[in-house]
Amino acid sequence: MNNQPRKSNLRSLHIKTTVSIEEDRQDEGSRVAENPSGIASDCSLSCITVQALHQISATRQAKLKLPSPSTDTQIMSGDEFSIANVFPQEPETNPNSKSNANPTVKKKRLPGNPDPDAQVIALSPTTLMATNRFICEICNKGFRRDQNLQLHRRGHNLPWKLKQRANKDQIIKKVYICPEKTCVHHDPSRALGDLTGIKKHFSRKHGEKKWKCEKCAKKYAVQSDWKAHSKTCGTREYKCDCGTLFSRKDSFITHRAFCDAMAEESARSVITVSANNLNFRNDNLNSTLMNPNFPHGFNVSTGISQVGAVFKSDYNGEISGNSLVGDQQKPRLSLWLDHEPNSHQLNFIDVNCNSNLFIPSSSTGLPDMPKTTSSMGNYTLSHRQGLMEEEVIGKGSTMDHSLASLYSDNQKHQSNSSASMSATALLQKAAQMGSTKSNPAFFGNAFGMMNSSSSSASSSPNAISLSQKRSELHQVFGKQPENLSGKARDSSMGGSNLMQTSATQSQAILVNLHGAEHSLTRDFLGVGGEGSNPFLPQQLAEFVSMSSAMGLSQFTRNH
Amino acid sequence: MFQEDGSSFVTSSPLQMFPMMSLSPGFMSPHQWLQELKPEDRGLYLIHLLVTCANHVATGNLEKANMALDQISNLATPDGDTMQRISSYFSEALADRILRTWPGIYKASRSTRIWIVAEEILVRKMFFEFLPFMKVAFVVTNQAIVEAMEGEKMVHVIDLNATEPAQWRALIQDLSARPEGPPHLRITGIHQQKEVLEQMAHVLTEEAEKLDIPFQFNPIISKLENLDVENFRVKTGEALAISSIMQLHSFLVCDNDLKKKSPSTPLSALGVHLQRVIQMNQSTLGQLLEKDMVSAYSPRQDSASSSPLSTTTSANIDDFLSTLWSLNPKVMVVTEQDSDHNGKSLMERISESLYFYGALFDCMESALPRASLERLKMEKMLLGEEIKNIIACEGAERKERHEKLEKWAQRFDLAGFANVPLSYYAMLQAKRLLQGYNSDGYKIKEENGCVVIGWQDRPLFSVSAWRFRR
Repeated sequence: MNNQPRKSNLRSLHIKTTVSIEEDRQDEGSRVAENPSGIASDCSLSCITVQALHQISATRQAKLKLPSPSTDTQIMSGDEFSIANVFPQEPETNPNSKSNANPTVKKKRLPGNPDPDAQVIALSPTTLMATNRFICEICNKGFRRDQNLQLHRRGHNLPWKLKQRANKDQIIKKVYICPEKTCVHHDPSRALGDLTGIKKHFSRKHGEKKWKCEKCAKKYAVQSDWKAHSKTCGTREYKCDCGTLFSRKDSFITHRAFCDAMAEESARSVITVSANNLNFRNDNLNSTLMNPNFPHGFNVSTGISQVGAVFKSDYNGEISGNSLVGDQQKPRLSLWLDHEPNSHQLNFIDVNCNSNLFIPSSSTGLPDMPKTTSSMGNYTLSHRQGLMEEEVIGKGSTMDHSLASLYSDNQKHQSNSSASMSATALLQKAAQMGSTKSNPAFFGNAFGMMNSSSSSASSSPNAISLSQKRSELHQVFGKQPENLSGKARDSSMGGSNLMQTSATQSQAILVNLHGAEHSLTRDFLGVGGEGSNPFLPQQLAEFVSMSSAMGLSQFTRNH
Repeated sequence: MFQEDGSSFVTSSPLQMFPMMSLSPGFMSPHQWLQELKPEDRGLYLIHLLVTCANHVATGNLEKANMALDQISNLATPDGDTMQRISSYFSEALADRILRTWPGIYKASRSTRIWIVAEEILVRKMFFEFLPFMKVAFVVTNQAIVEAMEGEKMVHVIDLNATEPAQWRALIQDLSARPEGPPHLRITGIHQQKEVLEQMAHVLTEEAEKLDIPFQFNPIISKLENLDVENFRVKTGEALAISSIMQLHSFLVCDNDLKKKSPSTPLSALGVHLQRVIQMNQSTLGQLLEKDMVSAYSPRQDSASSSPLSTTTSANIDDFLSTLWSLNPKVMVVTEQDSDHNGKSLMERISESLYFYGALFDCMESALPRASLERLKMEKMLLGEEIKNIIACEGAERKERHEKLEKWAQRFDLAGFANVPLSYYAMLQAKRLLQGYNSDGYKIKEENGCVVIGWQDRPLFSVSAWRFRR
């Protein structure tokens, strides 16, 4: 999970949209549910600095997702308001919203004022990157500060000792600046309110991201960020109503932002095209509405409100109106990436919009583009029109299609499923038909084996016997080449030698149908150079089997 | 015994009659029984005819090839079922190969042919829109680039074939949304048409302005093979990404030219001589003569090429890869047809491409109605042209030398690239994209860190990412 931008969104919401606290609460609530550890770590840190022990229980509550988060956050948001006043121009916030929780204390003392007495502390990068020095002897957990270790030891029922402050009023507020000179937090006026915060800031912003998520591409500099992310990465699916699925919320939100933008744009250009196109858009709209997948599902509201947060000004109104209903919303066709062709119809429409996006339509006008480009624009238009026609044809042709199939059912054997008619299936079948014979392949290893005789798939006993016979023939020929030449002579009588092939001249076996001696047209398909004679008698057998009774018995009788 | 065979065979087969008839043209016009063929049987018969014809063409038996083509033409049609369609294009390719043996006739038959570049681009756009392959390639490529460029402040992307702005538009959006903020982005697009690049520049600049990210488009008007690396203007300090979508296979040309020189027969010596002529003069006549040689003696050529000598590595692709390597790319994402269409023998190529394009035509069938004009155009102008190139062309003219991923991987490895495994997220995106198509025929699998997209069991395209390795 990407904590940082989210929080800054939140911040901006707190500051700028006081009205929408309701939404915020939801938002916050969902965040707690989503990312309990993130919040928990923030809170526990603040608790420790404040040393208000009773708050630990509150932390635990938050951790366990006990009922209070919304009230907590309400308080937080109130507080944040004041923080915003303290550091009025801070756009990017301290990611560890320590300051968010701290103010409870601070506000009591110095309501609404920056603390002039705060001690500004500058730590070296080494100190900031220092690893945990204080180790628990039970579980080996390391802590950066002794006090934290002491708190931890209590959990093991070990003796512990916490420093007590002599006088709480004497607490001097410390703020920490980032050692990186180019960083905004290097300026004391933008210093961060606590040590852990500055440490995390430093490694996040200026450190190496060595924690890499196994599932996605994200890397983190802070282990806890990585942990929090790992827990949720890939566990959820976010679906935009354009049909695209996302595994991560941030990419989903990003997408949503553009998806809206794109829809707007496509709407604009579609309108410029023609009334027909508008019709299509309506069609599409309907189909989208009928599509049960249309709603985002559970995360719609959060997603959208966050989009709203990102694009504060423009989308807010629209979003609140549209969020779940979707009736006013344009179909989200936008990016080609998102296009989900549920049907041919959708497909075409998507394409329409796409071409609008990818090629400036002529109506948009690109005066500075060269002529050829404008002709391309024309192409696009005509293409689009073509598509529209196609759409109609497409609809029609489905009918035609079914009609045709009815037709052919009546007409004749349409027993084949359409699957078996696909080229892939046919090629496979052709290969299988030959796969039982061990001839050197011409068609890879499979296809060349079409010589096989034994695997006749046909139901016709004739065919089977035929192919067996033919393979015998083949063997005979193979063994007695001198015979072959004899036969070859006959070939000169030249009948239909289509089926006959010779790998090389010497191998030519031409047995003529017209030839008195043989009624068989033999076929030795050689592959150049390999001298093998793979051919497809099996297929012929197939054809034989399917043939009608148009026999050539008259020829046979000759024998 | 023979008689028995004969009788059982002949009585049951109308196909036996057919060849005779085709010999005597006009004897009997449309063959009745053809109409009665079930689509499946027709398909099988077409496969058989294609194979037969291919053998005849390979052996130079043109008369028989002619007969086979005649039969195919009776059964195949470019707007029929997949097998009919594919047969049309394969038979056309075979015919083209035969025709090239008569340079004069060949030239004359094509003398008024018009080939509009815009049409071709449009067809590619349709292929991108209707079928998932380009989109998957784009998505995976972009994801690999975004991941490799994480944290980089200056990003330079080189697109070896800049026709489709959609890919880079999406990249701009991805980069603008990245947590560390958008980088300075420069895209170098290579294309031989000025207008295409202008178009792309326009779209991308607009998008970048909208998202307010610093962007520069660097157009290079050139053919890929004549590319001058200086034009890339790669600056120090910028992180370089290279995207190649179905481009690299055309560099395998030289590979085969070398192979042809290897056989030592006088015949091929002549071939070498002819090739030199071509190289020197770029003369069409020479090319045609060479084609003549190739087709006329193709059986010899085929057998010769299986000699161990033919395994010499290609100079051209190696040069190009080492050029790319010298640019020190952080990532190079390569999409290629995942099928071996660069076989030495014609028959090998035909059988492999029959499977490959069979599957692609099936994809078309699943995506578009048979009457679709778009489908027809894509099949004719894109797939059909590729088929023709694979089957009819030889030597430098044969550009569609698709090879399997393993071979590419070896080649990249030798050229000093290391594989960058594609991320889980890239895979996920590709999967989701494919799920969006309402066909369960599309398959995607991970293969040694690379992605292979296919139809049913047939791999069609591979996407792999590579990086500079010292």
